[in-house]
Amino acid sequence: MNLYLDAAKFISPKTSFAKTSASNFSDLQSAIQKVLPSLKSDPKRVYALLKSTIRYKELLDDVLKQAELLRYEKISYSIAIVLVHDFLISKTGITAGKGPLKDAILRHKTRLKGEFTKVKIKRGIRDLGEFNASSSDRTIRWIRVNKILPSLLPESLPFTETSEFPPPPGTIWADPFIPHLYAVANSHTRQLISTPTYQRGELILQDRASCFPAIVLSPMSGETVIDACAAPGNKTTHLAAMMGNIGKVIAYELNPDRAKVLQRMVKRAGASIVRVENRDFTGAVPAEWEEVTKVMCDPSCSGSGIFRKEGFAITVSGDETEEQEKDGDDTSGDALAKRLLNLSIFQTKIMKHALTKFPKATRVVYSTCSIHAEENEDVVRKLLTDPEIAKLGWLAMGRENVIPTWHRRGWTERFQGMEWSQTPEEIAEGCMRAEPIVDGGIGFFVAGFERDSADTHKRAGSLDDDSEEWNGFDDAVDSSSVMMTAPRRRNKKRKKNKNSV
Amino acid sequence: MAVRAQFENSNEIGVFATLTNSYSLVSVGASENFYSVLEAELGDVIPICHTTIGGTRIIGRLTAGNRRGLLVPATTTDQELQHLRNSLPDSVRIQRVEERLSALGNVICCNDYVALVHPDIERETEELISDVLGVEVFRQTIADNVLVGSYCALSNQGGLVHPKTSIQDQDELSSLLQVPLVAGSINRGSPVVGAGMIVNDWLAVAGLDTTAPELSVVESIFKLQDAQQGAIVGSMRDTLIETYT
Repeated sequence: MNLYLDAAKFISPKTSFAKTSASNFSDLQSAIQKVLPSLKSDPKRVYALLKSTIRYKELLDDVLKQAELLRYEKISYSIAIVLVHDFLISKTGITAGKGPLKDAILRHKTRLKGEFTKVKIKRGIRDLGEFNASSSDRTIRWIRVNKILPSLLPESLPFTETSEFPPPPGTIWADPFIPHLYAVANSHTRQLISTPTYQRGELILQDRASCFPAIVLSPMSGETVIDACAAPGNKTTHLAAMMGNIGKVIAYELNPDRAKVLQRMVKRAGASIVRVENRDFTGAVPAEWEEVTKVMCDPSCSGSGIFRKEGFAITVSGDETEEQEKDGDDTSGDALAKRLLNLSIFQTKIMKHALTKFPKATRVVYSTCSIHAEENEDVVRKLLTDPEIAKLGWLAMGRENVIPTWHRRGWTERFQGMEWSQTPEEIAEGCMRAEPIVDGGIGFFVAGFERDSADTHKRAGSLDDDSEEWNGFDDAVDSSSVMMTAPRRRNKKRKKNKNSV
Repeated sequence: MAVRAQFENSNEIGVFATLTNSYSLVSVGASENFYSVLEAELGDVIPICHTTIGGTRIIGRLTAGNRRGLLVPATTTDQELQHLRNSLPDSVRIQRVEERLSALGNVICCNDYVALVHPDIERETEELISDVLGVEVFRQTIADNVLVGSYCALSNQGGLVHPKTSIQDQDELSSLLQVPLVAGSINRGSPVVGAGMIVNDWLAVAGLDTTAPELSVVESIFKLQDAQQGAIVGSMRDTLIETYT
């Protein structure tokens, strides 16, 4: 009986798990460690019991409610749920001698069993083992097929194609926004990681959110592209894949450890055109700075769009393949505001470097995995209105080039009152946002900056729809002659516009 | 097989008799016609016991039982209990139940593995049902009727429920009971199927008013027809129906 009394201490007496959240088993472990001396039973068994109880909590709660156990017996919810768990689910039943608590449960054994069967039928659970996979875990795992390497994916995966989203276990869903990106049920993560295709780098676990920047940037074969904050390198290899591994990708990463991860990822993906530079992007101007045409910038952010996928963080934390730049968890009002301010200053600085230092750059994409406007729309606004940047002719990219079919766009109110040639609506429409979980992945923000390469008079014909916003460009750019122009680049630009729409 | 019979001019034979796989109870009546019908079908196989419960003849509505046991209401007298103990096989546990809802046949509907019970039955009774009859117990209603014993006839092969049971309820019940179910009537349209017939794994007795289609539904859901009769239902059906009309 001590086992149950010990376990019950970790469950709050009200009918909910306030103390232990269902997804956080490591918290539970440390909570048990803390009170270790006061436990009268084997802590391992306490942990196992609690873990299983939390897993089946939904079912057990229903059973307790339907059987009205707590109405008939004067026992607490916390002790009842662990006892009922062992009575109904554990193979050994309640492992305790006779006692008032055990008797209280056994007095209702027929009812509990009956209600348990009913609950299982209602939820369509044939076997308890499948419970976890079916109902509680509907999250998804995004996988990108690395087109640099020859591979038979996704056809070689043991999944059937589905049009249902989120995809149920055993099926695969092709993303309509990004080529070669697929979704499977998160429960398949382990299985995917263990496949040789993953080891060979043909398969990359990459959230949809971190695929969008490369698509918006849409680099062509032969271009020179910079990835400003590259590690862990999923976006970098995505760029290389989009370029058909022809051209040049310069990947910057300040942190030496993360640079190593980046190097490893790049090597595994076979992205031979990627050159890793382990230094600060803002302090560096590469030798080929004159050739750089596109810059992707995904600076450190608050990571407020990221939610931890239970299980994944534990299994592969040593081999981090997912963009997780979450630094710290302080969410209390002032601290958060201060942190956001610091982050946005850093983000603006790095973007300004990207926008001003490369004379031939025509497109710069800014992305974060944050949902705070301070790091997103506000940064874009600051950059657009920066006189130094405006002088160079940068405009916010219009929706037609920023995955127009995506439904969730930037927040218009953040651009109100700007003195700018584009309307707030236009700018906001050109930004992409995603809500965590609701939009099938982490939360993120993407915005693009674009400029024509100086020779404004040739532009007609290639940018019909944009003529309005480009008029603004004329005014802004007249005085500046910083732009370098080459006829070759004009042609390319035209072609690109056609492709990316 | 399925037969028709009357108990002293009443078609509600489920009221006056109980039938299980190991015994049958028949109430004491003025004539032995009904008893004779049962004896002709069951005489050599399982004991048939003449009895009253609490001095009444409605024993089918007052008792509930299966192969393993028999539950009788608190109104059962000691003599009746003793008589039942003497008449039924020793393997059958007989238990008197102190339950406010004393018409156990109306509130319990069971086969050898599961029992559906009235939602308001007492907890102690629930435990007794599970102990004595060796079944899983589910509180249920059938087509919004709480008297599950009246509106459901159940064997280990299948079950017949109130004709107005929705498909969804049927599916739910059938997954609880783990046997196929069909909604149907008995005794020329009576919805009280539990009281209108008695059934075990190889015999069903329905009231004399039961129509041929009703009886054929009973035979097929309780799997009472042998192979040849099955063929009749299947291939010669058209011919037969022509004959009936």
